[in-house]
Amino acid sequence: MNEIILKADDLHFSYDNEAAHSLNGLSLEIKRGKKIAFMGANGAGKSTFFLCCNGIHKPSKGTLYLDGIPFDYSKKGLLHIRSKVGIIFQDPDNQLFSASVYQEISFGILNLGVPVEEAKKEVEHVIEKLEITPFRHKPTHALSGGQKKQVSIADILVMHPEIIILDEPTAALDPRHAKMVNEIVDQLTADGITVMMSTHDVNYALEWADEIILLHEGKVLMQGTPLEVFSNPSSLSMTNLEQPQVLQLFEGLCKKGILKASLPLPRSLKTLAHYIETISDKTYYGGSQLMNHETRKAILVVSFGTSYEETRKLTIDAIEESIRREFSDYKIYRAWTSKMILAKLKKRDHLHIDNVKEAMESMRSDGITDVIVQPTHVINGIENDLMKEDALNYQEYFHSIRFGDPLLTTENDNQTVIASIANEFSSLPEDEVLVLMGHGTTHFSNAIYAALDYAFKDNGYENFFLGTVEAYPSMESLLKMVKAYAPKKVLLAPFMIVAGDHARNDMAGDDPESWRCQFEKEGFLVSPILKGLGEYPGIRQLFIDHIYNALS
Amino acid sequence: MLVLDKLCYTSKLRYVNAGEKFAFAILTLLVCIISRSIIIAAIVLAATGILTVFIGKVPISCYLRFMKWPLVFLCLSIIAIVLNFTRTPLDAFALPLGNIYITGSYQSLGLALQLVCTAMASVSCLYFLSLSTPMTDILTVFKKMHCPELFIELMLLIYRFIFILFDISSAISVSQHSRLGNRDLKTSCQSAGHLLSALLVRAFQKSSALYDAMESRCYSGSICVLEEDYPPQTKEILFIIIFEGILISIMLYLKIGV
Repeated sequence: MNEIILKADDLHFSYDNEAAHSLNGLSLEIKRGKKIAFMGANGAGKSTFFLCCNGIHKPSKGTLYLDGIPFDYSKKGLLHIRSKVGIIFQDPDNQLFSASVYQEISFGILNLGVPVEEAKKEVEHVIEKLEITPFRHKPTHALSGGQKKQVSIADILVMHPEIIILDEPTAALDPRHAKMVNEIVDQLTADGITVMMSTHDVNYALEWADEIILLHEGKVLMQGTPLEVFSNPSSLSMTNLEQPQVLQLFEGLCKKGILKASLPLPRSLKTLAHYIETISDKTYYGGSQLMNHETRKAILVVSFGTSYEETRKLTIDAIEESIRREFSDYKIYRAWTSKMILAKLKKRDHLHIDNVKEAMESMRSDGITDVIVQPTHVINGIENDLMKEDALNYQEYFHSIRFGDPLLTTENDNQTVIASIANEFSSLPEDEVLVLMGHGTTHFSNAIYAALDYAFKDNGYENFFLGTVEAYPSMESLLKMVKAYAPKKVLLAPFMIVAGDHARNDMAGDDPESWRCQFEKEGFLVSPILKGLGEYPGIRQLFIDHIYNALS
Repeated sequence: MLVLDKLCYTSKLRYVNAGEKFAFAILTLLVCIISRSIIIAAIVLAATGILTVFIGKVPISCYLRFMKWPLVFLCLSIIAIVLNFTRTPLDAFALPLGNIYITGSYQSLGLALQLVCTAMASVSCLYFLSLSTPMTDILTVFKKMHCPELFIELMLLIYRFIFILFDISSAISVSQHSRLGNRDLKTSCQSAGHLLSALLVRAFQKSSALYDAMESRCYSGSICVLEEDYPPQTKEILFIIIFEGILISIMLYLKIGV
């Protein structure tokens, strides 16, 4: 059996004179069993082409092929064509010639030369199938628009054509009858009939059609899947069509960052509703770039920064390296947020490291489309907010920008961090304490430090303490609590990603104000450990988990 | 016309065999015309009235309204038979008007009454047929009677087109009215002219579109369609035979005076 059931090759047709052609070199191929929507402005040649397909009009130039055989316009040939290609006209009043529904339906099949008894059975069958029975005894002029349409479909269906052409079948029908006609059309395609339909209903065409053919001035402007055709705004505007509402809504939701542009384009409101139902509460920022674009993905790792090369290698570099290993199909970018450190490195080592803006800029020029920004900040503080703001200034240049969470965001993060640290200091005897030094901030998220200190104790790590350099819990509180525990020895470790300035000076330095000196002053044996959080495998894994979380 | 059509396909007698109804109507009509008897006319009027209104369930008000129009027409026509202008007064009545009389005889009055009754009875026969049998069923009967196909096909298409053109003309006329197309006599006439010319053009367009649609369903010059037949019932046939028998007997009795 021929895969191409109908083929048009360079069709020309004119109703009156040679100057104005209704068909102007129209060529196309229709595959067997497909649902094809013909769209185009009024006068684009849809109805003329349909009449040509049925042999009513003979093209002045060009050839039509049915099953690979050119149309034969002899009486016998036309009978053959019309038995294979049925056409349902837009206005049923132009099609129904008899006042009796039964007579009307029997007309076509008797013309095919089917014996009367068989024709009777077929007519009864189609009347039942299309649910015409309730009004079969009404005269055609007393039928409603929808009922007339049902009869006009039955007219053709009873002839068992291989192709059914519907010229705007739902024009002038109320929504209920339009739905009913659409259901009948679905039945036809389920029966394997090739259906060609002209329609102006872009929403229906998107959902229904396998293929859309855009006609413009008697020629095929575009032929493709509904998604291909409807994501081509220039062709749509040439044919006086608009993008289907579901795609407009989807695009709008993507731009607003409610949906991800990486989702397959929805063909129905139902699919879109499903997308919306399954939205996770993860914030996601959409860009304004159009859909159907090649995607290039990148992860931007944003750190505060450090001027100590040694700890940088062990922490920031190590984190980036584990992310690179885990997400091999992403390009990894680095940005630091501390202006002081960036300036210092530039001056001291002539080393340039991007800030967030610069990194976004270079991703843009590298043609990256989808960005995940993963901060290595410990808490959701000011640094993190500013970083987001900087990144989102570039929103319009990307398909999507997503943000991974800082280290301590959810309850689960807290537990993981506690477990990682506890694991690192599992050999800590009961008569020794570990005092962790966090940074601290005036931001409300500072509360996490005290909460975490509490959580350590709650998890059974009575000898783990957490304080901050710049906020609460301060050294004052720590001293009180550590004294109350009365340990033999105090271990000091930074609760920061890097073991940089704060760890070296404020924690382990020789200044009398340093934590080491203060604890020593109180008579404790102190041992500082210069190991940033970035060196703990559990912490590095948590950042990777946060990226996965942002992706899901 | 439209009301008549609607009543006929909602009539309870619709699914009675069309041949039976046709035969009943035509035979009764013939007896009415041949006998010209007031008694027969009265029987026929009663019988068709009962059949149409009580069995066919056509509302009595509609039926009387339908009967009213031919009655008015008939009354106007019989004036010529009843009224005479003569110088000598006749036996029934005489109105002097100067030196002539408007006068009438008992004989002409009797003739007029006979004529009115026969005509109304005949009309009621045809109403019985039109109010119980849709056009398509009547055409089926014609086909069985071997009427020329061209005639039947023309009737089929004309009948269908009456409604299509009626729809178009009412739409155009409404739109003309909505734009003050009947403001005065002059514009009304103009509008009617435009309506008719538009209707002519549309009729051509519609017929050409209909022809295309018929061709697309392999039309090759003659309209072949299946007929829906409702089998005749023995008791209905018996009723017709007995009824017509009685009518003919009465007619013979009256004519020959047996």
